[in-house]
Amino acid sequence: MASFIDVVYENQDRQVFWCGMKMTDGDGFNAFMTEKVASRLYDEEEQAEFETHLRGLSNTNFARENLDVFLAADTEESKDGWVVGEAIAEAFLTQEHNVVWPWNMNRDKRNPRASLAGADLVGFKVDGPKVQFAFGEVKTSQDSNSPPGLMKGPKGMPDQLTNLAEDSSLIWGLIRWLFSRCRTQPHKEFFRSAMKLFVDSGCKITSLYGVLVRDTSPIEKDLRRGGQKLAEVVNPPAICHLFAIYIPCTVTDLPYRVTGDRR
Amino acid sequence: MNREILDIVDDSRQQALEQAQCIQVSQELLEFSFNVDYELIQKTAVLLEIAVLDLVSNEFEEDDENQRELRPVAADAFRLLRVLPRPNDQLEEGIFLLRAGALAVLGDKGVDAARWLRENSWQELPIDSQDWSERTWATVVDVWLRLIRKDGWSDRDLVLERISSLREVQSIFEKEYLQSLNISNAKATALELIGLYHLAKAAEIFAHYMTDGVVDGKYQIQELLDTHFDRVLAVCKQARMIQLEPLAILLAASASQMAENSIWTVTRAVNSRVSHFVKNLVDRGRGDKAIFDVLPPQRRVLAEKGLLGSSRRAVVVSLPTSSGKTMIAEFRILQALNQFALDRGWVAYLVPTRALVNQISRQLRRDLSDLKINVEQVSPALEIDNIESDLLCQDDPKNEFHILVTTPEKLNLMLRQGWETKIGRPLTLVIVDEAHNIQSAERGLHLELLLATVNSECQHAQFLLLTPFIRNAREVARWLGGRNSEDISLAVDWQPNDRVVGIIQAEKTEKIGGRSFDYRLSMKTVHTTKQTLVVDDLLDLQNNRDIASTYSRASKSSVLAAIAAQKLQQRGPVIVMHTRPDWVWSLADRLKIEVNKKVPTANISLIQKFLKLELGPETPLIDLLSYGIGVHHAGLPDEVRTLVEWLFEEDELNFLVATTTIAHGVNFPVSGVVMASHQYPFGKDMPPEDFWNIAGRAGRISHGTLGVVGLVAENPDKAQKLRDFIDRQSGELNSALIELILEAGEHLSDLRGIVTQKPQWSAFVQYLVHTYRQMGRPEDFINKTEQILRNTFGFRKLRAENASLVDRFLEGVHSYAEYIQEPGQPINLVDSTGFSLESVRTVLSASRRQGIGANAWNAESLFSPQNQDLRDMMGVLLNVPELRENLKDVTGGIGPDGDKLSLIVKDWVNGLPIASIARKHFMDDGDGGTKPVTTEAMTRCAQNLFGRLIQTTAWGLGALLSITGRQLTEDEMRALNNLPSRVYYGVNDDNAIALRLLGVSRSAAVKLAGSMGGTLDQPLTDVREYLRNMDKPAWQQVLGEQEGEVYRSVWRVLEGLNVD
Repeated sequence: MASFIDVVYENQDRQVFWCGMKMTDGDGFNAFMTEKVASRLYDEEEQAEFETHLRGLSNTNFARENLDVFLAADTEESKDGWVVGEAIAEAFLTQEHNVVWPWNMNRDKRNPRASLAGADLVGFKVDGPKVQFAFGEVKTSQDSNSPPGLMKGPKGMPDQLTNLAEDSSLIWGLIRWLFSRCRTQPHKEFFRSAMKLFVDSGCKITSLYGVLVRDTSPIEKDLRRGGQKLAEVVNPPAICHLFAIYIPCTVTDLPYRVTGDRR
Repeated sequence: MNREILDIVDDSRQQALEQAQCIQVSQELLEFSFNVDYELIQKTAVLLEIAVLDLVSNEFEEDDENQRELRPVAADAFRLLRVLPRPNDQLEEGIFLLRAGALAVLGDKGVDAARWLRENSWQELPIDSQDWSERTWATVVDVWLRLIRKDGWSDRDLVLERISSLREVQSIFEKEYLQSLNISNAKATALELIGLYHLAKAAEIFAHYMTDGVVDGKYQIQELLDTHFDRVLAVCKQARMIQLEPLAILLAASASQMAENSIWTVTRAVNSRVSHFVKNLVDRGRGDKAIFDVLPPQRRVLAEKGLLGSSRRAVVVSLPTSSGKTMIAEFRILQALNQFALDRGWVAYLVPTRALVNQISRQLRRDLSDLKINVEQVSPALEIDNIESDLLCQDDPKNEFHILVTTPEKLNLMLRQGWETKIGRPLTLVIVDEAHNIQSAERGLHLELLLATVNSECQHAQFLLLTPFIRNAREVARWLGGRNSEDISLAVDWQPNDRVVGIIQAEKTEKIGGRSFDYRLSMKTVHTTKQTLVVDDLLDLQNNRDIASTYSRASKSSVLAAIAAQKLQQRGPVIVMHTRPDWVWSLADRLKIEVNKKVPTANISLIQKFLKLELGPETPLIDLLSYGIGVHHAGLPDEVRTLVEWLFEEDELNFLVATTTIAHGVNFPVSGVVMASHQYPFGKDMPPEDFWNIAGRAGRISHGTLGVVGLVAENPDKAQKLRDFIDRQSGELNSALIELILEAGEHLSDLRGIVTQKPQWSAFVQYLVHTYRQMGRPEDFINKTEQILRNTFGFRKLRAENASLVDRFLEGVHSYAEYIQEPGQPINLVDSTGFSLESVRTVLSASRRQGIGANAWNAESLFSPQNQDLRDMMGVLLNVPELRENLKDVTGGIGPDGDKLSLIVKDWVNGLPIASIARKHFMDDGDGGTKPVTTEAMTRCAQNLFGRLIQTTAWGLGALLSITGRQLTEDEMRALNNLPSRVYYGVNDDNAIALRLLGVSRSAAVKLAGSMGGTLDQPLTDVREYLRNMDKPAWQQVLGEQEGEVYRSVWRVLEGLNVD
C-alpha cells in the first residue's frame, strides 16, 4: 500500500469486503494526482482527431455545426470533480489491486446511453496467472451525510452493483465490448484466461468493485449497510470489494490538484 | 483467438444447439414442455458471437479458411440467439435482433433471418422520440433491420424515408439534447452520434444499391461502405461505446456479405441482357416479391465459381433442393444467348416430365419474355408435327424461338433427324434439369446417349447439368467437357430452412369400451445425413376421432397418414403421399371430415366448374376441393394435375394427396410432407435423391421456418425399415448403360435379339445405328465402335472398373456393327422412327402382312368409326417391343387387342369426354351399362390414356407412317404429318393442334380453332398473343357463356397469366 494511504476500517460479510482508505496530503498524494490520475484526463491529440471525425461527417449529409461546438469546445472536463473521482478510482485499483484496463484510459469517455447499459469500470483483475473479469461502479460524493445519498436508491452504488451481480445479460454485454477492445497482447491473453475461468466457474467468477470517493471524515457507516446488502446477492466464487477513499481535499478542489495546484 | 474461444465453448455448443432445436421444434411444431437452460444458450451464443467478432476483425487473414470457419460459427450463434427471449425494452430488443440478423447473414442464414423478422417483427421503435440520442439509435436500428429483412420494396423505401426524416430534424433536436448533458457526456454522445450518422449513411447506400445496382455512379459499393464503417470504428476507439462498438463490427462484416449476396454484385459486368434481367427481377420480382439477393448456393455458383464468366463447356451444378437452380440456369442461358447472338443460337432446356415441360416453360416465359426472349415448348410426343415444324423453322428474328423446353427423348430424336440443320441456327447450350435421372433404369439411357450425341455432333453446344447433390459431379462434368469442365457442388452445408424428419407411429392407450382402445400418434425425429433437427422427446400428434375412432382403425398406414396430415396442416399446406392412385383416392377421402369443409373461393370454384365440364359432375375431386383437398396422380389428365398444383401454390388447398411419383416433379414448397409409403409402384424404394427432393421442399423460404417430413409406420418392423431407408446416402451418379450391361447376362453377345427381350436396349442399338449413319456408313465402322462407345458416360466408367465385361460387351457390339452394315438394312428408318433396326423390320413385315401401305393413310377417315385401318395399325404396333408393354397394359394385359385400342383412340380423337371413354372402355358393364361411372374406371382410363396410350400411339403411328408411307409425295406427307398429334392432343382437326400446343383445353380447342380463321396460319408467338388478348366475351361467343368464361380462365392459369 502506498505510504500516503492508510486503512481506517475494514470489514467483511460473506463475499463482500469493505474498506475505508484515508489519503494523506503530501508529496505522495501530489505525485499520485499529477501523474497517475492526470494522465487519465488530458489528451493533446484528441482535438485533432475530433476534427477528422467531423470532416468525415460531410459524406453522410448530416450537419456538423452543433457537433462542432461540443467537440471543439475547450471543455476542461477536469473541472468536474466526479470525472477526477473516477480517474482516482481507476488509478487506485490499478496501483493497489492490480486491476488492468485494456485500453487507453484517457480516451475512455462515457455517454449516458453507454453507462445505462454498462458499468463505470470494466477490466481484468490480474493475480499471477489467474485473471478475472473486473466490473465496478464509482461514486464521487460531496454529501456530508453518512452514508451519502449516492449509496442509496436505485441509482446508488449498491443497487448498481447488485445489477452487475445478478443480470447476466448486462455482464455479457460488457464482455462483448471488452473483447472488441482487446486487440493486442497482453490484453488478448487476459481476455482468454478470464473468459475460460469465467466459463469454467459456470459464469460466476467476477470481481466486483465499488469505489466511493469522499471529502469527509472516514466512517464505516458509509459502506456497511451497502456491503451487507450486497452480501445477500453476491455469491461465491464472485467477490465484491467496496472502497471508500477519503481524499485530503474537497471534491471541488480535485480539478486543481491534478494540475499540481495545491490551493 | 477464435480457436481458444471455440475451445472454451466446445462443451456447451452442442448441448446449447440441442436445446435450441427443442425450443424451435416446440415453438413451431407442437407445444411440448422441457427444461430450458437459457443461461447455457445465452452464454454459448455470446461466446460464439465473440469468436465471430474475432474472425471478422482479422482482416489480414481474410482467406477461405477464415470464411469457412466463420460461417458455421455465425450460423450457430444465430440459431441460439433466435430462441432466446427478446428483451422487453424496444431499443434493446431492436439491437438484440440486429445482432442476431447480422450473425445470420454472416452464417449464410440471411434467408432464415429475413423470414424470422417478417414473421415476428420487432416492437415499434422510438423513432419519434424527443430524446435525440434515442431517436437516432432507434432509426439506425430500424433501418438496418429492414435491410436484413428486405420485405419487398416497402422496407427499402422506409429505409430511405426514415434516414431522410432523421436528417431533416437533426437541427431541431440535436443541439438541445447535447446542451442538456454535462459537458463530458456531451462530448462522448457527440462522438456516438457521429458513429450513428455513418451507420445511417451506410444503410442509405445499401438501400439504393439493393434496387439500382449503382450508387452515385459507383457500381462497386464495398469501398463506399468501408469508408463509413471505418469512421464508426474510429469514433468507437475514442469513447466507451458498449453497444455501438461490437454492433458496428458485426454490421460492417455483414454489410459486406450482404453486398456480396446482392443480385447486382453477383451478376455485374456479364452483359447487358443479364443486367436487364436483373433489373426485371428487382423491379417486378416473382409472385409480387422482388428479388434483391441471391441465395448462398446461387452466389457460390454465379459469383465465387464464376459460372457466368466461365468459358467452361460443361458444368455440373449439384445443389440441394430449393437452392434456386432454375435462376442459375436462366443466367447461364442469357450468357449463352449473348455469346452466340450473331449466329442466333438457341438453348435446349430438358426436363424429365410433361408436367415440368409446362411448368418450366411458364416460368422461363414469365421471367424472360420482357427481354424479348421467346420460350417455346415442343410436346413430348416424339413426332414433329407441322405446327412444331413451322415453329422450329421460323426464321423471322422477331418470332424465332430462343429456348426450347422439352424432354430428352424428344430432343434426341429431333437431333437424330437432323433438326439442328433444319432449324438453321446452332444449339449452343443444353440444360438438363434433374440430370440425376441419367441413372434411371427406364429413361436414363436416352439422356446419356442424347448428351453423347450432342457432344459429338453439335459444334457449339455447351452443357449445364443441374442435379441434387451427387458425389461424382466432377466425373460427369469431365465426361462432357474434358478439361474444359467444372463441377460446382454443395453438399449439406446450406439449407434453405430447418427441417425435422421423423417416423410416425400409433400407440394404444386406454380402453374405451368392448375390445376397443383409444390411441395416440407420435413422431420420433431421426438423425439424417442432411443436418435435420432432432429432439429426444416424442412429438405428440394426438388422435383424431373423426378420422379413426379406435386404435385398431387407426393402425393402417393410410389412416395414420391422414391423422398426421390433419394435425400438421394446422401449420400450413401438407403433401400426403401414397403408392397407387386408388390408395391416394381413399386416403384423400379420409380427410373429408366436417372440420375441413370450407366455402369455395373463386379459384376453387373455377377449377370445380372446369372439372364438371371436362370430367363430369361425378368426379370426386370436385367435392374434395371443397374440403381443401387436392389430388395428384397419373390417373388425372395433365392439365387437371397442373391446375391442382396451381391451387396448392396459391394456398387454396390444405392437402395435396399424391402418389409418390410426385417426388419427381414437385417444384414448389410445402410446410409438411407425410408419407404413407416410401415406395414407388411394384414395391420399389424411392431412391435417396427422390426422397430428398420431396423432403427438401418441406419448409418454405417465405413462410414457416420449420419443414416437417413424417413417414408413417404401422408396426415396429416398418419403423426400422424406414429408419434404414432415411439413412441411405445419395451415392455416385451412375450410368443406366452400366446397369443394362450388368443385367444383360448371356444376351450381351446377341444385341440383335436383346431388344425383343429387353426393350430398354433399343436406345443403345439405335445409337450405334445413328452414329454409323452420321459417320457416312464407313466400312471400318467396327474399328471405330470403341471410340464411339467412349462418348458415353457408362462405357468410360465400366472400362475402368470391369475390363472383362467390357470385352464381352465389345464382342456383342462388333457383331451388331457387322449386322447393321449388311446390305439393304433400313438404316434411315431407325432415326426417323425411334425404333431399333429389328423393330423397323418387324413393322415392315407385319404391315406388309396386314396390307398397310401408303393408301391406308387417310386423314379424313382414319379415325372414323367405320374405318378398320387403325385397328390393323394398332395390331402391327403391338408387335413392336418398344411399344408393346405400354399398349398391352391398356388392354388390361388380356393380350394383344388392336381392336379395343383403336376404339379408345378413336373416341379420344373424336372428342368424346373422358367420363364417357371411361364408362365405355373401362367399366365392366361397358358402353350400354347404366351404372354411374366409377372413380376407379375414371382413374384407370386417365392413367392409361395419359400415362401410356396417347403418347405411345402417337409415336407408333408416326413411325408407321414413316415406314409405310415412303412412296408418298412431300405434300401428301405434310397432309398426314399431323395425324400422330391428333392422337396426342385428342382432337380430330389440324387447326386445333396449334391451340392444344399452346395449352388450350381439349374441349375448347376445336370450337375455338374454328372461329379463328387465318390467325392460326401466323407464327405461334402471334397466335399466343392473340389468345392473350382475346377477352371474355370473345371466348363466350365461341364456347357459350359458362364454358367461355371457364376455359378462358383455365387457359390463363395454365399460361401463368392473371385470372381476371
